[in-house]
Amino acid sequence: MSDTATQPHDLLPLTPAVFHILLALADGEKHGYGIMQEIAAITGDAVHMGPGTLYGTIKRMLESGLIVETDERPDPALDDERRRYYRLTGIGKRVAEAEAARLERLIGVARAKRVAGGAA
Amino acid sequence: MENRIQPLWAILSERIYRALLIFYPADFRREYACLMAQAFRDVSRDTYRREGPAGIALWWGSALFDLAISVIEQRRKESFVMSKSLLPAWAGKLLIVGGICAALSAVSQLQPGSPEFYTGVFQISFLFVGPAYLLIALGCFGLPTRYHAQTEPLTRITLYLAAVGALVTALGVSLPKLVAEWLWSVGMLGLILHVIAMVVFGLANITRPILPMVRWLPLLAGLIPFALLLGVMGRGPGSPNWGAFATLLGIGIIWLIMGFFINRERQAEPQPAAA
Repeated sequence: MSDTATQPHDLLPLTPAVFHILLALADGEKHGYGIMQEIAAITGDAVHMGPGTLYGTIKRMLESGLIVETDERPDPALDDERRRYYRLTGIGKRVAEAEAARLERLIGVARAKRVAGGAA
Repeated sequence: MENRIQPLWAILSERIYRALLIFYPADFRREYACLMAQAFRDVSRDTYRREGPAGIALWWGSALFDLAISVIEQRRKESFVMSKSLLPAWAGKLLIVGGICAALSAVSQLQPGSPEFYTGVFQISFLFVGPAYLLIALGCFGLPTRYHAQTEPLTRITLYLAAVGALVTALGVSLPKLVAEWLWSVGMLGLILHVIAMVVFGLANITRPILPMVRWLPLLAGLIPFALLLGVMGRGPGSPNWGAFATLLGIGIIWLIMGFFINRERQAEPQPAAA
């Protein structure tokens, strides 16, 4: 999948696992365990992604071009060279933004129907 | 880069996890097995620091669940079908995982107190009993087909009976809460059938072994009923059930070792050349 051939909306809605990984990578590249830690942190420890789900999802995301492997290392002296780092692609970032906008619209509807907190 | 000496439990834990990764498709395993094992090790290390052994037990439960779900997903993508030919091929692997689960479930019997009030360790480890015997049943069903040429009718019948016994055990320990309490007794009868069939299989295996290296192993099942009997007779109101512990652990270890050798033998078989 190339950035030009696919529109972000074609890939929506995302599964929770894909969206969590996109969010975890939104502020920079991370390795697998770093992604797992970030997901636990941003969900307040509500989601603990296991290695099987993580790498199964990463495989799909690599195939669809949402993320790529990167050779960059934050600090090679402190890091295990066998680790693989991943970062968002352009289309990956746009898909994450489109999914966030979609969820925001849904929250707006939920507020209007008084099933979520906050005024409409 | 970290270069610490790992404690023994961490090394064993990671090796068991690595062994379980064999259930993934070969392509996926080649690409991600090392990374998954590394992530598993990282989580284990941090969980142990924060929560100690109890945290590791919970992490293992969660990792097994994650593994089962993701294996199904990856296999589904390969149009995975549990066919008649695949069951024999998987018999060794099924017995390995079934054996591990049965051995893990044994821990449930070490918690003192009345079964009416079992909580904690009992509840966690007892989750393994049903899946353990279901996997063992599937493994036992696969063996007679796989070793058809090397087995006599008696061997095949005992393996089928062991499979039926394991299946009844799995249903008997899993369904009582949902259907009826008497199913628990049926499950225990299934366990007795399974053990007796294992012993007879062991006797038949001596005269015509399908696995020469482990020909005596199923005979050890003959000791299991004695352990159970001693445990039931000697059990006080608040004491752990050592007999049931020995039974579950013994069956688990026996099938784990059998599965290991069956699997190793399969890996040594010449593979057909690619077209």
